[in-house]
Amino acid sequence: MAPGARTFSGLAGVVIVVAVLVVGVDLAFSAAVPPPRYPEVEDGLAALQSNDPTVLVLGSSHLRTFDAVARELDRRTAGVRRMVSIPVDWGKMSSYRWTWEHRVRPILDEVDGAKTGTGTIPSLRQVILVTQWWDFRVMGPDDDPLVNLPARSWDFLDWLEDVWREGVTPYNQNYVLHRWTRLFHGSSLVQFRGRTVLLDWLKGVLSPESARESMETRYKDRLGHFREYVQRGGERLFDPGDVQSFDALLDDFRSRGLDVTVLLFPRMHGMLTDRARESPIGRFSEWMSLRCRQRGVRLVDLSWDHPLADPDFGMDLDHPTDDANRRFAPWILDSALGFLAGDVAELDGNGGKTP
Amino acid sequence: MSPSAVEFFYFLPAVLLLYWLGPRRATWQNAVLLLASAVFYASWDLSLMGILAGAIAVSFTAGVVLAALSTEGRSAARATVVGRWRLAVVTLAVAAQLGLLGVFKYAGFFAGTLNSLLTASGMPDMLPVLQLVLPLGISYTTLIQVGYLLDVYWQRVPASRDPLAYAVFVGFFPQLIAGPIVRVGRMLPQYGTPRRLTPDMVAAGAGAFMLGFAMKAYAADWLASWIVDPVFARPAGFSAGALWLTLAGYATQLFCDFAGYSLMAIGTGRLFGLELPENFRHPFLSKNLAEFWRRWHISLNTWLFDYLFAPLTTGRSWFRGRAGAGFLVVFLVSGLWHGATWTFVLWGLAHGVALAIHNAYDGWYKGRCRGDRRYVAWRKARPYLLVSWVVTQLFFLLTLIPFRAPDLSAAADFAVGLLGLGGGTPHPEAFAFHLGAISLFVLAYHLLEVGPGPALKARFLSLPGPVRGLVYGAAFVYLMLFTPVGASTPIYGRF
Repeated sequence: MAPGARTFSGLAGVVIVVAVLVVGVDLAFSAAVPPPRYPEVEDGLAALQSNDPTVLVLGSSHLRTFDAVARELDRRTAGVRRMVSIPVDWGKMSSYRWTWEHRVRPILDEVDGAKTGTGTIPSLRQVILVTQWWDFRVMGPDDDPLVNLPARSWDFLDWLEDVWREGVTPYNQNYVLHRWTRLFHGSSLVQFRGRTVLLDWLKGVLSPESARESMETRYKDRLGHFREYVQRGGERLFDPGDVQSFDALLDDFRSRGLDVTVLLFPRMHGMLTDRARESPIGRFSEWMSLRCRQRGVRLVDLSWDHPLADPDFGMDLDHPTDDANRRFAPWILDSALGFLAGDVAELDGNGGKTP
Repeated sequence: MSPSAVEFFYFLPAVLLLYWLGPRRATWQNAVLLLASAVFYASWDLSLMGILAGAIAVSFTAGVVLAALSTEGRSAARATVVGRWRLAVVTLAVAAQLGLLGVFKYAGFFAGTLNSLLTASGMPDMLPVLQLVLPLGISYTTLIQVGYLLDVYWQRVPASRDPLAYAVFVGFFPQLIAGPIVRVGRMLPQYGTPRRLTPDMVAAGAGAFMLGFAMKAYAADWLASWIVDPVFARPAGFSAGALWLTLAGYATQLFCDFAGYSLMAIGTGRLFGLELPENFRHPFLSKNLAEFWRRWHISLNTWLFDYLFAPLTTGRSWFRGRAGAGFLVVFLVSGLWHGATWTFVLWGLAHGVALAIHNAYDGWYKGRCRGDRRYVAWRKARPYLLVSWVVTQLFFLLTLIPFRAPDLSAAADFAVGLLGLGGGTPHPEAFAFHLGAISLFVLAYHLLEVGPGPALKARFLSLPGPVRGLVYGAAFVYLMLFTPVGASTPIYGRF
């Protein structure tokens, strides 16, 4: 591209200008549209090791909501009850199992350096598994290759082992991509590459009216697409591997003496057609209710019964907005998860055992 | 791993560092390239790597044996005997390479065809239809090795004595997926000497890579996702206009995908101080089919003409002097090389026949020119050139229908749709902005080669570095905004 550059210094000059321009544009974009930094498995694991939580929450990206719940719990109990989330973005039940067995369990099984034989997370008493029908569906051709990957929980050796066994696949490519985006977590250009986020912002600045119109059109298209997708979901329940993973997780939680809650995450009401309410949503709720009863596990089914309105789910129709999460947190701690904040007075100073 | 994928942006810098920071010796550099190529190959399928290694070992050994069986300085009688041995060795070695390709690529096709014939005549299937996984790049590495064996046999080049250099020559990772198909005379001398990093090579390499990336990851993948794939999936739902747009879109996609990938391979090669052969030369400027095939997939076509057409039409067989028949054979082989399906056979047949007709017409017209000089002037006149260009490009477009369609009946449906007999949606749901930008990009790429184009290009390249840097930076930002992560596998990687 630059045969005029006959010397390395000339070439370096071109490269520096390119770099300055790209970084400058990126900084400007990042200031205008800061890329969100969503919590990932590694953040959850770091918090697990440093916070000695009393409650552990395992699930997918829906756990972003539980950051607000954790803050509210902390506020209500003055830090006596501590909640840590391990969010497996794009995960499903088999990914949660992998993450639990390969990442969380080794930390729980660690014994402290003082050789007292005590685990390094002594306060952990409760676990909440946040799920929905999606986590149990059989993968179909319309699933993004990024879906269903424990690859977000992998470390380099896990990735290498998978590549050695399978070659580079869309499945393990997710790890590389994940590391890449984490490496440039502050860069809007990298985080929003090929997506319309920055253009939407530009359009909003230049022509707010047409930006609003195109946003509305896209919202409608997306809603239509998701309605279809969820409706078809009933035909894809249940993946035996995910059911097996669910049972294995419950077994392991119980064998550790943990109080277990399964929570079905709220669904956006406007996304569910009559058919979708019947299946997969209704069918999944019934199945889960029976399963939890059989296993003696507490079920909190928020699929329908929740205070969130449709606009609270924002543009992605799946994750409540920050504002909605702030309203959701006190509501859930006043209702279905009220037991988490109860009996604080009876706790010891370290947030340890309930007598 | 593909050069447009994110993992390649980890892989390439690591290999470049190892390559250039190590000793400047050919052995070290070749060893690094071989290791990198093995890792690259393994990233697709480790289990099939042994097949490529075996094929390389066979062709290398055959080359050494051919060199040992030299007829030079031998008596006539002895030379005849040695000559027979040489023929036997080269025949066996070439048969081994082609046999490997045949088993993996064509066994299923031929067994399926035979079974269909048997079923049609009321007999039960006789052959099992194998569905084998195609080893990465086997269509390319086979041709590279067959070319080498024939060159050594015909004593055009000396046999390689350096197994390391030879292995890299065949399996150099950027060329593995979709070529270019390298030739021994050009590449082995480069692998035999230590390479030096020069600013010109770095600039030309980075430039070719980025241009190729834009063509592949932006233009080709966008066209595929938004125009070509949705329409080819259900052509009956679209109007004739939409089908014509799709066909033009597919021609552009195919060009951007393949030429883009070739440029990425060439660019990567330059970053290692290696000059791979050119594979595309602005094919949409072509005004006749012969010219088109000199501009499109150049490395395959020169291979086919050097190792198939030339021996066929200059040898002692019936084909001697029959260029038309030669074209037919070459393009039938080219069709089958692209894939073991009847649609590719039809595509090859169409191009073979058309080239034979063009060749006959060209001979007839040249005869006219000799008799009347006005014919020479007409041929250079704009109307003649315009008609030639339209006919050539239109023919290429139409032959892409069987090239892209999954089977002959789908190809026929698409072709009928072009006549405008049905209704359907007038256009696929695509963003006019990107369609315009890609059209402009491909147009500019071609027009910079004609008229004032080269002068404009030279003028741009003589601008001060920082000014050019701003343009490249803007292009980079554009790509970041519009190129989604996870570009697809190159189309020609499937062949």
